[in-house]
Amino acid sequence: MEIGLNTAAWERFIRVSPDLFCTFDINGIFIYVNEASATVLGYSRETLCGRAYSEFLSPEYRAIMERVLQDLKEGTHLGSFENCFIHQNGKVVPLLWSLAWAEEDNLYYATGREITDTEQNILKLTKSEQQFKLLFDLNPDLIFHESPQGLITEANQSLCNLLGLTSTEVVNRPFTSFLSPDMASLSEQNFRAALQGNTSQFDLQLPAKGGERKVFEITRYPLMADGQVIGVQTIGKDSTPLKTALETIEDQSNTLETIFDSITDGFYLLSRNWNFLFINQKASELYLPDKDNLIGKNIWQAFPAEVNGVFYKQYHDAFETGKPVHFETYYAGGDAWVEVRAYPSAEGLFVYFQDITERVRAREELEKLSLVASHTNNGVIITNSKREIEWVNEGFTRLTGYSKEEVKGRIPSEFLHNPRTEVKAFEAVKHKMLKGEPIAFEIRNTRKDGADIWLSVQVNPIFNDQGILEKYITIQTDITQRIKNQQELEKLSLVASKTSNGVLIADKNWHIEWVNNGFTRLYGYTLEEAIGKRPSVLLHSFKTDPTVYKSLEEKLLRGEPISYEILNLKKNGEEVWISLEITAIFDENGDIVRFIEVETDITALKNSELELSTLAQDLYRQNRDLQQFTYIVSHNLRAPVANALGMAQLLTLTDKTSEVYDLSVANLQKSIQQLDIVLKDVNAILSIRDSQGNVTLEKANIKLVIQQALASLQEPLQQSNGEVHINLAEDLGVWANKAYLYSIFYNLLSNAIKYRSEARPLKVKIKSYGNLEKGVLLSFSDNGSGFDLEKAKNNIFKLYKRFHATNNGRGIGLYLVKTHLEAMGGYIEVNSQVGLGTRFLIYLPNLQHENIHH
Amino acid sequence: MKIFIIDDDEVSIFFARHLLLLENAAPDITTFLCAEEALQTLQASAVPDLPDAIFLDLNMPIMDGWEFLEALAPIAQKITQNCRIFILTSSLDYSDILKIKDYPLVSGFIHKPIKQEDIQMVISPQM
Repeated sequence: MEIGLNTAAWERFIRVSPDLFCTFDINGIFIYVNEASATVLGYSRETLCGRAYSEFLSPEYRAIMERVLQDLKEGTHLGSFENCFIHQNGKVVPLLWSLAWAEEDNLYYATGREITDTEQNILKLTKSEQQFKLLFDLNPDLIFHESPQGLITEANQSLCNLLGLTSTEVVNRPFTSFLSPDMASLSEQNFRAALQGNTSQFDLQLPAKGGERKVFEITRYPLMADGQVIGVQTIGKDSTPLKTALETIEDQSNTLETIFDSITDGFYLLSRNWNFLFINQKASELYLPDKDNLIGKNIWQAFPAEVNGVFYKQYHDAFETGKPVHFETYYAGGDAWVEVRAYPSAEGLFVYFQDITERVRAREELEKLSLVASHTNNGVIITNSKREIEWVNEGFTRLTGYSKEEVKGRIPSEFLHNPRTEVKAFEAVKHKMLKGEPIAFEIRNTRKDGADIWLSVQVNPIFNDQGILEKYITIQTDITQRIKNQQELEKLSLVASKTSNGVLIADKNWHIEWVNNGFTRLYGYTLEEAIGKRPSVLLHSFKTDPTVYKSLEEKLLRGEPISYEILNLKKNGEEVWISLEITAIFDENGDIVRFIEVETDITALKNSELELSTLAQDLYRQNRDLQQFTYIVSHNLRAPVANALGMAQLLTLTDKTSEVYDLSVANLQKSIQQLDIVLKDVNAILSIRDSQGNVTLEKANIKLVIQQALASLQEPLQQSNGEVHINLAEDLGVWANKAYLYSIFYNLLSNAIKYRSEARPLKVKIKSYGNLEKGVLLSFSDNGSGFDLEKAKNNIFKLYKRFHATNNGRGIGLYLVKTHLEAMGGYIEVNSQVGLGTRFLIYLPNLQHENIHH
Repeated sequence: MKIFIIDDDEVSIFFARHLLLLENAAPDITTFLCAEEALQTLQASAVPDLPDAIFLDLNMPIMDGWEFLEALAPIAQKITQNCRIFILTSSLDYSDILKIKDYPLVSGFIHKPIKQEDIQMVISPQM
């Protein structure tokens, strides 16, 4: 049957075989490969045929392979061996080969079977397994494996023995089931860490048989295969004896620490070689914050600044003598005073300390106070609780005349009070003092020499630590002067209260101490309102002239009374003129203690004085006007009269038919006409004068008035070829008397025409400098002949003053301009240059519905 | 006799001139309406050409009588050698009469209108 199989049948076998069937030539080139190549190597038979096997062979086998093939050809090889090919996916494929050389075909015939890892390693494992098993089972340490699910897969004898269980009882149970709950949670935590790939070490308490607990040092690590954690291995070493000992020490140490920490003093323990062995919580809080670092360190190395210091000496002393030391010192490191007690022993030095900074400071304060007390001007008395004097300062001796020795053991009130002493003030508060409350009172005492002394007394009780009243400290201040001043003030007030004048008493700093009823009547301020304030703040207004007092102050400070008049303000805002008389009051040392002001209302007087002054001014003006009038009469009125007289005389002396006679008649007429003109002028002037203070103002349009004046002068203006430029706002108005305003512009224009320059046509410019809030400023300029301002300056606006020889001006125009302007509250200024022209600046105030007062 | 009349009032000059003529006081009368012109003339004149008398008005424009007198002060020595100055004014102001004391150049004070006895006084030999 077997022989009967045909080629096709063989080929079918080959095709279905999972093993490789192949032939290759002497050069190693595949000639034939069956279909199994696709499964085993990942390459199709077509790919492999025609290519060298060495391309697919794992490189380390190339040399071996070549030698095998050579041996096979020579018949020295069995034809069975293992090697590895590389699968198309890169994986190494171990193959078990059976190979034969066929001389006739000049080919190698080969079958290859894939062999797995397990198969490959079975032999090795079998060999080493026994060793491991022994190591595992007989290890004195606990060893066990767990599955990723946390079940024990294997446990060694030691673990079973510890638990008192058989291996089968342990396997397939979670390790945690053998543990107490807190240990279970610890174990669970480390188990998970192992599953994450981490190795951990920790202490674990395990229940041993018989209820004993043993501590194991556990190492747990992951078991890896193909980069995957496939389980956890645990090894545990018994550390129970060591652990227990340590725990005992720790417990004791904790107990001690608790004790030391609960001590309110700072405490630390130094070994005999100066190392810190212990530092309690308080000590750490106070000055040794880095407690954990200091333990085990040498104190003098940790605090080199203290070497040879107080601590250093005292601690060394303690060790050397074996006796405790107790000292107070300043510790610069903590900016504090400390009280230290150190007890030496065989173990070392026990140091207790506390912060006594506050105590020391309080003590220092007390020392300083007593130093001050012995030097102060105030009297200081220290008595015991029975009020018997223990100590007095020099101030006390100065005040009372009694020395320290004289008063020791005596009660102050018994020798300082006298029959005149008003003891009420003291009696009122005495019970408080005896109860231990601080008190203060003012009292009249007697000095040793019998003289009175007024004292302000403060008594402060002093308590000891137990709250028991121990001492009284009494401070006395001499207030005799103040009391005297006060009494004097009372006397003064008594006097002043009777007068109807205002009286004000101020202290040396000008603070009001007292005012009388007259003052209240005068100003409206009551004593309560006035007290403590300065008269200047209370009574002065912006109108009050403070310089008057300043100018007299020196005299006052010299001790002379001063008097002056001043405009003050009443409480209701009314102004009041006051005649002041100020007197300074001095003490026996010549120092000013207070000022007394007597104030008299002189408003009525002052007002009549002011009226008088106005009247005087009016009179002066009238007089001045009168003088001017006299001048007019003596010169201008008299001139034509003199001429007329002369002409009349000439007429009597000359022949009626002569030329002189006729001329005389003509001149007579001329003189009389002139007289008439002057009389008219006088009339005009007097009418303005009369109306002064009673000018009716109305809103006048300036431009309109100028145009009216221009219209009246149209003819002379045209004759002189003149132009007038008015550069004013159409509605520029001013409060004025229209007739006066007309006269002003008429005169100015007429002057401009009259005194124009022959060299050029006249140009007049009128412009405004804005309608100011307060009034209107106009400029009126011409290009006329001008005049010498330097020469004329005092007379320009005077009546009958002329500055041009050639023209027939009367010298009244500018006088009228000025008079009219002044009547309306305005004024005029002039500027002129000979040959260039003249400019007038005219100012008119914007007075509404108001009459002008001069 | 040579006389200057300085006055801005033509009527006044007319009268003074004719009265002087009537009194036969001076055939040589020069009149000035402006004090400055008179001043220039006087400054330019040699001593023999100076007038024997000057009638000076006080109230004049530009340069009044007082200013004229002050302007004349520098040549006062020359003037006094051969010339007397008389104030001729319509002023009745007493202060004007008092004021002539400050002006030694002034020889007399005459109120307008000038009278015959005033002229006699002027033309009479040195007072």
